[in-house]
Amino acid sequence: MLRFFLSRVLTAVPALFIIIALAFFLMRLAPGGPFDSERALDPEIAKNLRRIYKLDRPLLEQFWLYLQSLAHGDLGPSLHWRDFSVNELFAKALPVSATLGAKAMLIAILAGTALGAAGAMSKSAIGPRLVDGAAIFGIVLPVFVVAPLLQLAFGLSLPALPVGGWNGGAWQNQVLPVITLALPQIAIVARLMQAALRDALAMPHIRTLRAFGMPGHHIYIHALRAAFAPVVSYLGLAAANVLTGSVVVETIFGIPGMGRYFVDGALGRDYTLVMGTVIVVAAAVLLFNLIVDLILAWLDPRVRYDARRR
Amino acid sequence: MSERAPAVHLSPRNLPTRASLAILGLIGLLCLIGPLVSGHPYHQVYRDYVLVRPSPFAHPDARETHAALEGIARRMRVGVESFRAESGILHLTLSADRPIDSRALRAFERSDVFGPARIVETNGEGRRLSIDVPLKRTVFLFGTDANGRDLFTRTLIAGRISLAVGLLASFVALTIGVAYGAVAGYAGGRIDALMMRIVEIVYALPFIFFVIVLVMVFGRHFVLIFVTIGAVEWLDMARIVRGQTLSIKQRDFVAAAEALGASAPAILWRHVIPNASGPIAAYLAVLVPRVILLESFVSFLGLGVQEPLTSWGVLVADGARNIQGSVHLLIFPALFLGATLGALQSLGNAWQGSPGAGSR
Amino acid sequence: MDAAAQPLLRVRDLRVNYGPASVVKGVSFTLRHGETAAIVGESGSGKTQTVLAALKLLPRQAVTTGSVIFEDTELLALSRRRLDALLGRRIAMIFQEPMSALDPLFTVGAQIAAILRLKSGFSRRAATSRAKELLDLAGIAEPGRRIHAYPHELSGGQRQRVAIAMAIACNPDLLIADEPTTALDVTVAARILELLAKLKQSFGMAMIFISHDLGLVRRIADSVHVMREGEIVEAGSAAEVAANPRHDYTRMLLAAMPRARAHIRTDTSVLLRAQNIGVRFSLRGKFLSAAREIKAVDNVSLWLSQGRTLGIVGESGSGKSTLARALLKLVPASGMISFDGRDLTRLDRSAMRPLRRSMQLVFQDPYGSLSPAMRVGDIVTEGLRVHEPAISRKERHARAALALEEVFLDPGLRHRFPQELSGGQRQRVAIARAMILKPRLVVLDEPTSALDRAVQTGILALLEQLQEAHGLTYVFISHDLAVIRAMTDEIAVMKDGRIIEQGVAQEIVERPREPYTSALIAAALQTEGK
Repeated sequence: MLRFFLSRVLTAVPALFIIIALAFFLMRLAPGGPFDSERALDPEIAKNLRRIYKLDRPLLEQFWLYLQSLAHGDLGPSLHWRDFSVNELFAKALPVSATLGAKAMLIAILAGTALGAAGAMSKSAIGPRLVDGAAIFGIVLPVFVVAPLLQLAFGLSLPALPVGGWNGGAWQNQVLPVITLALPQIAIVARLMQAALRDALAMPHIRTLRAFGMPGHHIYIHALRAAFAPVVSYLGLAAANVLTGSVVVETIFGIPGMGRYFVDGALGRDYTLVMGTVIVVAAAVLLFNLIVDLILAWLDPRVRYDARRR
Repeated sequence: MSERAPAVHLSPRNLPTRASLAILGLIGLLCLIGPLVSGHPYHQVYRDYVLVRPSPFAHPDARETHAALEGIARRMRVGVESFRAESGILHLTLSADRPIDSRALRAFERSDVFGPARIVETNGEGRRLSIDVPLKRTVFLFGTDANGRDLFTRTLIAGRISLAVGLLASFVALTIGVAYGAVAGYAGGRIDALMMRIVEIVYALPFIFFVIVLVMVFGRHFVLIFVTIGAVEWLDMARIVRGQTLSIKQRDFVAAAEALGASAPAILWRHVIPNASGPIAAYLAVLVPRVILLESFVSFLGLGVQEPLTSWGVLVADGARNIQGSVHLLIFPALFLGATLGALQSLGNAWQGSPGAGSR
Repeated sequence: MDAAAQPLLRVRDLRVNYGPASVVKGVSFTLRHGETAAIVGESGSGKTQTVLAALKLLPRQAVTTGSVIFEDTELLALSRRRLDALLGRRIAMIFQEPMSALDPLFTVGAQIAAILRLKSGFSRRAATSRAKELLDLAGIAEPGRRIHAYPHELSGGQRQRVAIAMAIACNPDLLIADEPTTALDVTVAARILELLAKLKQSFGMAMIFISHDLGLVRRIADSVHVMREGEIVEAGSAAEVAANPRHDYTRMLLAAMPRARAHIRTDTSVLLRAQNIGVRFSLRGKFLSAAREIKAVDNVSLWLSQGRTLGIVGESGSGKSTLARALLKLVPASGMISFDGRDLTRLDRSAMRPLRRSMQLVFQDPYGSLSPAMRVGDIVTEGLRVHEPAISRKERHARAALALEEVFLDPGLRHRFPQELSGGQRQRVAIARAMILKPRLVVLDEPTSALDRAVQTGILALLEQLQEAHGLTYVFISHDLAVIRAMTDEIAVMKDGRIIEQGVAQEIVERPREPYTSALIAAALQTEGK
């Protein structure tokens, strides 16, 4: 098991490196520089700025310098919000996005698996159809449609929930954004779970358990255990989807998270800020995928021993 | 003994599939032909009809007529002495301190509400004019947007863009993905490992990155959408095809083809890809809605299609911004988008059978 | 009432219908305590459905009528809960595919212990130690260690033993075994049968043994019921049915293979010579651990004379299929191969291509060797597309029709897809595909093993006919010694990648030198009941 873990970690590191390099050089390719979008600067000042931020050095040297500061955990200064370093900007924004994302994922997992399991275990034919139908709705309505609808429905009609803003993380402000983020994931997880559980219940070794007259709850435990694998596999992708969705949600609900920095930074050619975001997000995704792989290996002993299966 | 299922199995017999196909057909037809017969060019601005509510009844209604009339009277610096509406024609009497220049009457013609004015009677050396002005009847089925453009036409035009992007980008992703996956799976060994490593690395980045980074590099361009979406979506297809190729490669009929002396490309083309066509088709049916959704997403952020072209994503973004008071701006494009996505998704489900069946 | 006299199980007029389709059409039989009854039939005869219906294990779409009385209780009328109480404790079942009977996510010990805990109320500790005992009883070595093993870490035979241990855990009165040895190697199967016989004795169980092999069950069953298309066509004591079969179908099932080849050819020139063939697979090492190497074929030398048939016998894993493909240069191998005097060893893919016409391969699984996406006509003429690409489409269709006729198939079938054909028809298509190029050497990798007995003889006859007509040289691979004996001139016996014995067919069968060969022959003969 340890070997498996190490092997997965060691493949993640070069991946992260390549992503950093790719993003770095891609951005420098972009025409124009970070100071172009502001009001026309005196060329002398512009030159000085470039010198201060070391933008006049050769590309490779800049890359090397950047890697060095990365090694110290320093993401560099923001080129756009020049009074702040990227680390400072993130220190406030990252917890916000992380909280939203984590809660959305949690709700998605709990609600999704519960719904899916209920659909699979229901005796009538309507149950599964309902879940499938509701799931299609969830998948099909994009986040940027659901968000304003929810704002309309709950925020404006029911005065209880605020329509936007973060308000330091008050729970009322979190309700709508989290639900918006979670809905499509609930739908997908529910569908996956239902299908997986249906398949698991039809498997030969479940038939053996029935042939031995084993009690219902025992059979369901075995079936659920087998059904979790495809759901867990999806979680890695779910994290990426939540991340993507959070950009929209933060925009619509006016939440000061990473998403806003990313979009604004990109449009303003704030290299360091965008780089910082890329690194943080990529690292988070890779980490999450690693955790998912570990859970999968723990769930299914065949994965641990059979590297060939990859 | 198990029977292997045939390659692609589309049974148009069951209700969801039929309904989905019908919906898609309807929307496709509307988007293609609708804008030509709707009676409104998609970029035409009706300044008098801003944020009009959807209605099957013709405009202008009484309020609009009054408002437009007042506006014109003000610009002409005349007063309206009498006003009588009769079966689509307004009989007006205008009066002013100075003689009214008849050329100023062209203001009626230029507006969206009235047709050309006809002078019936001139009194007081031109200081009092009796004119007949017909009303221009227009229908805005879905209402208009904040600029005064017909939402019905725009929704359909947007549909053309969204569907075109959906189909084209999916096709690109399909071609690249199938080729990449088949080669990787058939080659096996180190080549396969390397190719899949690349896929994994690219996969680690959420889609939003490519969009933003590419926007930074290339600026906002329509082609950008294709590139970005194609760059991301081929990955999944490649994975699926590679998985299929790996298992098909082991089947005896591939060994038989090798024993016959068939070349690798021939085997891929004649045996591997046709036998993978089931999961490929199933994934395609899921891919198209994803692509359309991604395009909407990009457009929503303002990074995709540029004015005056529009897509469902742009329309929904507009609708979301104007949601207070003009819900129709959000509802109609969202409805079309949702219906298309739902129908495609449902087709995809039907083709896949139980999800995951293709991957076993 | 005397317990021994009262029957244990009475089945009366059991019927199973799926909608309009009738799968079991009125089956009746009686089972006494301690008796072993065999239900014999080919696939689709309804033998498994009968048993599953009796235990109410069929899916919802199945409609079961009739009467199944276990001791005094009517099983079909029992509530789910009361039936569950009986299952596992008084009635137990083992299935054909041991891998699918066990849950791959749980250890073997945990699965056995679960039965003991939930069905017999054992405590956790007691269940674990009893599980160890049961594994031991089932003949698993090192039970203390194996208890923590996962099913995929065990061999097929071991898994079946685990399944048996689960079945006897609660000391049932009736054990139902559904083709328990069909998926296993001959030698392993023999041992499992011994185990079952032994356990039956010590536990005093009655047994229902389901199989397609009448010869096999003859040795272990007291009574035999032969099923065909949902009905019992013949029943009686095992000895009776074997000695005096009344129904034609039974007779056919009992029919033995011919004892030896009808024609002996005189020595002809050598067509294929292989020397020191070796095939190695390396299991890709997991990260941080070394790669392991497996020698699938280890230093094999043989030669083939024109017009004769060489048989290669061995069990699964012996390397015979790998050897077949190595001979045709379909897998990379070390060593020297020469065909018709020409050295093939250093030829690359394109150089080999023209030669491939002369050396063809027919596979075991007719369901896997034909592409489901191609029509039969295209499948059969694929070789023509490679070697005679100039041929027009029309001409190709004509050749396809001819090829199908040669294997006694209706030429109209060339427009169909393989899924529409039966197993026997598909194998004929596979043979036609090989023959259309007029090869000189044909390697047949277990060509009839996946087919029903009735169909096997037809295919074997066809192969003989084609060999006569075209002067073909065959390499015939099989695990079934009876088939080998009927079809081959020479035999090579393979074990663990090596040829351990080679010689004239008759010699090998009647006077084997190696103990392994003797064991194979004994197992085969056991099947024949001689």
